[in-house]
Parts: sequence; structure tokens; C-alpha cells
Amino acid sequence: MTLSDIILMSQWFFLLYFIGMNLGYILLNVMSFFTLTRYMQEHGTEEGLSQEYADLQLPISVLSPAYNEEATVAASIRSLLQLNYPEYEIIVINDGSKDKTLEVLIQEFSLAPFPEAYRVRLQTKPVKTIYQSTVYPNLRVIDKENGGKADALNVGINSARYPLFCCIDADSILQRDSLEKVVQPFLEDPTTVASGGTVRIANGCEVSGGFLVGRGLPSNPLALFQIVEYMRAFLFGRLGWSPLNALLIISGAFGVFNKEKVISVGGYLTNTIGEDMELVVRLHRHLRQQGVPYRITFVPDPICWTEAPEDLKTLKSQRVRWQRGLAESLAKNFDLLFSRKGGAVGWLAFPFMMIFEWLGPIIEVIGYAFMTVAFIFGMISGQAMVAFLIVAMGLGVLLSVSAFLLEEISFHIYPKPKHILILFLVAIAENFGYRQLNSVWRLMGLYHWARGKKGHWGEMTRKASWQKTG
Amino acid sequence: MEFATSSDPIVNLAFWTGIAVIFIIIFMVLYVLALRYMLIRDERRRKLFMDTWRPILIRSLESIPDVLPSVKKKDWPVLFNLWNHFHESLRGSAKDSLNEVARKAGMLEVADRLLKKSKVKSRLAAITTLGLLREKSAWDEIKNAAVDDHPSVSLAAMKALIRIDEERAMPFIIPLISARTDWPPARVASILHEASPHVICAALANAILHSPAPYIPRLIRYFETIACDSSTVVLRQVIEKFPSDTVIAACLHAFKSPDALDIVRKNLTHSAWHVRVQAVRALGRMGLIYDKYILITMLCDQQWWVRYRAAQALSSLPSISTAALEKIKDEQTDRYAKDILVQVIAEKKMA
Repeated sequence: MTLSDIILMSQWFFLLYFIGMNLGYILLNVMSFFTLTRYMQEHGTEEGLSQEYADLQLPISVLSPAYNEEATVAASIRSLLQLNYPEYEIIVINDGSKDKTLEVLIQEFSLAPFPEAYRVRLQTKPVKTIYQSTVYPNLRVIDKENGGKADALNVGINSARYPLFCCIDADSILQRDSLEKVVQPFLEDPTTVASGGTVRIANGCEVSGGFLVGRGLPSNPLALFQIVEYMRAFLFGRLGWSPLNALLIISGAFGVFNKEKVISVGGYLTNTIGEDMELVVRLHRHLRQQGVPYRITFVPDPICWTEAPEDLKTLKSQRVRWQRGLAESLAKNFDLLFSRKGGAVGWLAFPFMMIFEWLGPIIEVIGYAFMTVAFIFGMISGQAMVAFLIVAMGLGVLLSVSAFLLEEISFHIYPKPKHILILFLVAIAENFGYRQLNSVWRLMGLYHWARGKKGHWGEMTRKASWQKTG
Repeated sequence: MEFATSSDPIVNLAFWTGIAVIFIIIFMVLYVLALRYMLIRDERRRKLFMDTWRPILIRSLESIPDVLPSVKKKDWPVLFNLWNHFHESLRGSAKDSLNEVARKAGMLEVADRLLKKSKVKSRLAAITTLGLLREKSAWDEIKNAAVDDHPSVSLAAMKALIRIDEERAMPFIIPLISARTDWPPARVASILHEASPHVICAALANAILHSPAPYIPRLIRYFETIACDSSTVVLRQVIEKFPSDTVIAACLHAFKSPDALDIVRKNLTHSAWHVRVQAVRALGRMGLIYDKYILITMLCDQQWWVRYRAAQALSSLPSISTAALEKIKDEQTDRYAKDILVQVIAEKKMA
């Protein structure tokens, strides 16, 4: 085989890989289109839950792990206390914060030590003190030794009194009807074990009293790029898999789980950085192996908002962490791949995720590097280089624009026509550097995973410039 | 167009893929812009229509206008929703005026047409209007809608049937509420409250005693929310007929009268812990002072929830003060019993 044969084969490989990956996403997009249309028909007309019949709803324990969140924790908990839901409790788990998170909570919510008969159903780091708010009967705070987010969530599960638990990030901004919406799959199908909601970017929006009161776009280009990314990830990256019961990720920022099912598979894994995805993949694996009928569902309503990093350093750290989490989640549940009882998740979603998300960064970075080097050294023509870039970037833009289309037929998050124009330009611009940079970060994540570097709480520089007190 | 004439198949494939992608992107962007344009246009038209019709409906409470403005085809669903909203917020004879406006505007005929449409929102509006008008002639159409796969349509139809003729509706809707697990229980309960208590209680009691066992716990929960007088008698009968764990637990949850204390006490030693939990809760609601001795023994149950509910039940018994609870706690030799009492005493002090 000559060098030119190798170059020719490599060109075909990279070109077909990019086309294959994007075709896969386009198929997910088509699936999402039908799912979303049906969802809007079924759920766009519903009234809120009747408070009078609260006894017939499923009560929920809301678990909010906190680590060094002294600046935002009080506002977050206040907004949780105002959710529209008949019966829920809030359990804040202070995971050995080094700042004044606990002191802020004690002062803001009049906490008093509470002698709870704490049950250890999942093994965790020791619990130091359990507090009960003397003002809000449905608020408890658990102070524990530092053990990571997964360990904190396991403590919350041990302490939860209700059959469903909802995990949320301390910095998540929820809508008042978030719990109502995300619990619907459990009411509609009793075999539901988990349900996740759509997370959107809050940068550029107006937040008051812990709730989103005005929608807008940020001026920071990184935040704008992430808006397009989140739109793609949630509107078809997840919604497309949901009708096949093959959803592999429920964001740690907002998801509801059947407590007993989670305990039966061992709770959150503490030695992984992507505990949210790992749990969902493990639930699939166990329930498939046991032949238990179940559903893991995605709710497309935009019900949770989060602050996106606006500087490269924080964004890089987040993406490296996410990629490590993804690699760990898939590696730890490798048995699911093409397993006899694997169904759509084992035979479609897992291999798709493995080829295009797990190993994708390696091929993407090598692909771009190979084509560039080959072009510089005259091994491929200028035509071939331009054609490759048209495919790689054009298909990227196509996916982003199709996400707008889904957005436009459903929720119209961004009210002004000007917003559409800006986002369209961002969808083009992100293909010239941002996506490639992301691939490099994700490759670094894979490198960290391969080295087995120890994970830690994802610390983020929060600006919260959009947040008003109220 | 060097690309288009290139003999390199890779370049050709990439080129034509790129061209196709660019065309699709342009089409999608235009489509998105068109959708946004239509949305804005529809919003404006809707506002204009509401500004015209809202005052007419308000004025009609005083006197029915002789002439009503004509309604364009697209605006009918807006009128239906506006009218339904008004109607549901009114009481007594004011509704008659609104009914008169509906008939005069031709809403009845249009509702028949909308019922046959595939658009969910149009069907919902029409079903609700026909229910509010108590339109008997639409019975068969609405009955068909009540078995629709779409939960919102079927629930709206069930509500309309009850409004039109509750006695005639019961034999049809009770089997449906047993079978439709996709109907949110709170919404079903709220619709059942539309019916007169004697009608719904008799229908539910009959269904509980004659339905297959898997449906019974769900029916019992509705029976409980309606607070029927005959509940204890019916629940006793159902326990005798279907003594399964889930049925017993549902009945124990529903018992409100001390007449059922014998059944409650008997089930405190049931092998299924979820039955024992409901038994101790029931004892907390209706128990007598001497039941405290039984509840004290339940504090040592293997299951945390049974111990917790037993401690709560104990604290809610008549004449059990915090001091009395403290005394009971000090007398316990079982660590788990003591722990759970400490927790419940703390809860009681904080309440």
C-alpha cells in the first residue's frame, strides 16, 4: 500500500465519519420533530395540578447538594421553597463546604439541630448533623463530611422520605411548575423510573427572586455558543432517544428518580465524575438484565435554567469533566453494549454514544489535523480540503438550524425576531473554532480518563450578573 | 465550478453534500422566519378578536345583543376558549345569558364541526363548550371522545358527559377511570367532584365491589377523596372479597371511622410492611387511648417507616403529651424505638 493509498483511504474515512455522525444526528432530529409535535399537542393544553387533591399526587424529595455555595445557596433554596407542587420536601446536603455555606443556611432558614433517626441504606461518608428549619417544615439541611457530589446525593437519598427524589444543582434556576412538569411521566406511566427536564442557559436572562422573569441573549460569545449547543443537546440529542426508551443522560441539574429503583442498583457511584449519566446508564443495564419493564423519559419543556461559564478556563474545565464523566459512564457499563436484552439502548444509543461522543473527539481532532497537515504538504488538493470543511462545518450548521426549527415549533424561548437572527449567526460562527476547541478539550477529558485522574466537585466561577435579589 | 467537474469522487461527494446542506439550511431559516411571522400575525389577530368579543360577552350578562359580529373560521377556537373561560367563572342565571349568546353566535353548529377535527385544541374547546351548554344532542360524539387515546381529550369528554347527564354518564365513565392509568389521578378526582355525591358514591361503591382486583386500589383512592358516608361498609366488604396486600393497604388508608378499628388492629401484624404502615397510620387517626400499648410495640418493627408512623400515631393519640412521649421513650430498651421517638418528639416540639 502506497502513501497516496493511505491518504486516500484516510480522506474517505474522515469524510464518511463526519457524514455518518451528522446523519445520525439528523435522524435523531427527525425523531424529535415527531415526538415534540405530539408532546405539544398532548401537553400544550393542560391545566395545573389541583391543590385540592394533593393526596393523589406523588410526593417528591428535592435533593440539593451544596459545596462552597455561600453566595448563591440562600437564593436557590428560597426559590425551591416557592415551587408549585402539592407535597415536597427540600433536603440540602452540605458536602463539607470550606466556606460559610452552612452558616448562611443556618441563619437564613432558622435551622436547628434535629435528632433524625437517619437510615443508612446507601453507604456514605459520615453525617455530622441534621438540621430542620424552624420556619419551613419541609426544609432540612444535612451537614456531612466531604465526599463529593455523588456521596452527597446518596446521603440525600438515605434521608428522603418520599418515593420520588429530584436532584438539582444548587445553582439551578427552576420554573415554578418545574416539578409538576417533570413528574408527569410518572403519573402517565407507572413503570417510569426516571425523568429528566430540559436545561437552558440563563445568561442574558433576567432572574428575580430565584425565578426567571425575562428572557434574552447574553453578549458574551462563549455563552451564546453554549445556547446553541444546549438547544442541540436537549431538543434532539435527548428528545430523539426518549421515545425509543434509550435515553442515556439525565442532567444532574434537574432530574426525578424512583428512589427504591435507584437504591436497588446501589445509588450514585462515588468514584465517577459523571455520576448523573452513570446512574442512568446503570439503571438501563440492571433493569434490562432483570427484564423489568421500565421507562426513562425526557420532558422537553424548558424547566431548568443554569448559568453557563463565560471564560475559557472554566468552560474548558467543565468540558474536560463532562467528557471524563461520559467515558467513565460508558466504560463502567460496557456490558450493556450489544447485550442480549439490551434493546434500543444497548443496540443503538450505546454504540452511537460510543462512536460519536466517546471516541468522537479522537477522530475529529485527528481528522482536522490530518486534513490540515495533508493540505499544507500538498498531499491533498485545495478542492478536497475545502470540500471537507464544507461537509464538516455545513452539517454542523444544519444541525444547529434544525434545533431552531424545533424550538420555533414548540416553546419560542427567545421572543424577538432579532434573537433568531443572532442565534443563526452564532450557529455559523461556532463552527469556526469553537467546536474544534471543544473537540480538543474533550480529547483532554479522554486523556484524563485514560490516566485515571481523580475527580472532584466541579467548581465554577459564577458571575450571576443577571440575578436580582427579590 | 471546478468542484462540480472534479473527477475525484471524494471531492464530488463532499461538494454535492455541501450544496445540499446549504440549500436545506436556507430552506430551514426561511421556514423558521415564516413560522415566527405567522406567530406574530396570529397573536395580533387574536388580540384584536378578544378586544371585540370580551366586551360583548360582558354586556350580554345585562342584555343579549341583537346582532353579533361575524366570526372568521380561524377565530372560532379563540371564541370558544374565551366563552368557556367566562362560563366557568360565572354562577347561577348569568350562565343562561352566555348560553343564549353561544346559540345565537352559532357556536353549537361550529362545535359539532370542531369535534370532528384532528386538532386537539379545537376538539378540547368544542367538548368543553358542549358540556357547559349541557347539549344532549352531542352525547354520542362526546362519548366517542371519552375513549380517545389523548388523555386531555378523553378527560374533557368525561367532564362534559357528567355535566350533561351525570346518572347516564356513570355506567360509562367508571370503567374508564379504572382502566385509564394515563389519566392523572388528581384531575380525575377533580372531575368526579362535578357529580352529585350520592350519584358518584353509589357508582364507585358498586365498581369497587365488582371490578377486577388490580383496579380496586385506584378506585378506593377516588372513593376516599369523595368522602362517601357508606365508605366503611363498602371497604369492609372489599377486604373480605379481595384480601390482597394492595387492597388492604388502600382500604386502611381510606378508613376514617372508628367502626373499622377491629380491621385496623388485626392488620398491625400483617406480613407486608406497607400494610403495617397503613395500619399504624389508621390507628393514629382513629385509635383510642389504650391503643398506645399496641403502638409502643410497633416502635420496634423492622421497617423504619412502620416505626416512624407508629411514633407519629402515638404522638397524635388523645391525651398523649410531649412529656408522656418522653416517658415512653425513656422506658424503651430497643435502640431503634428510642431513636424514632427522639425524632418524632423533636418534630412535635418544632410544629
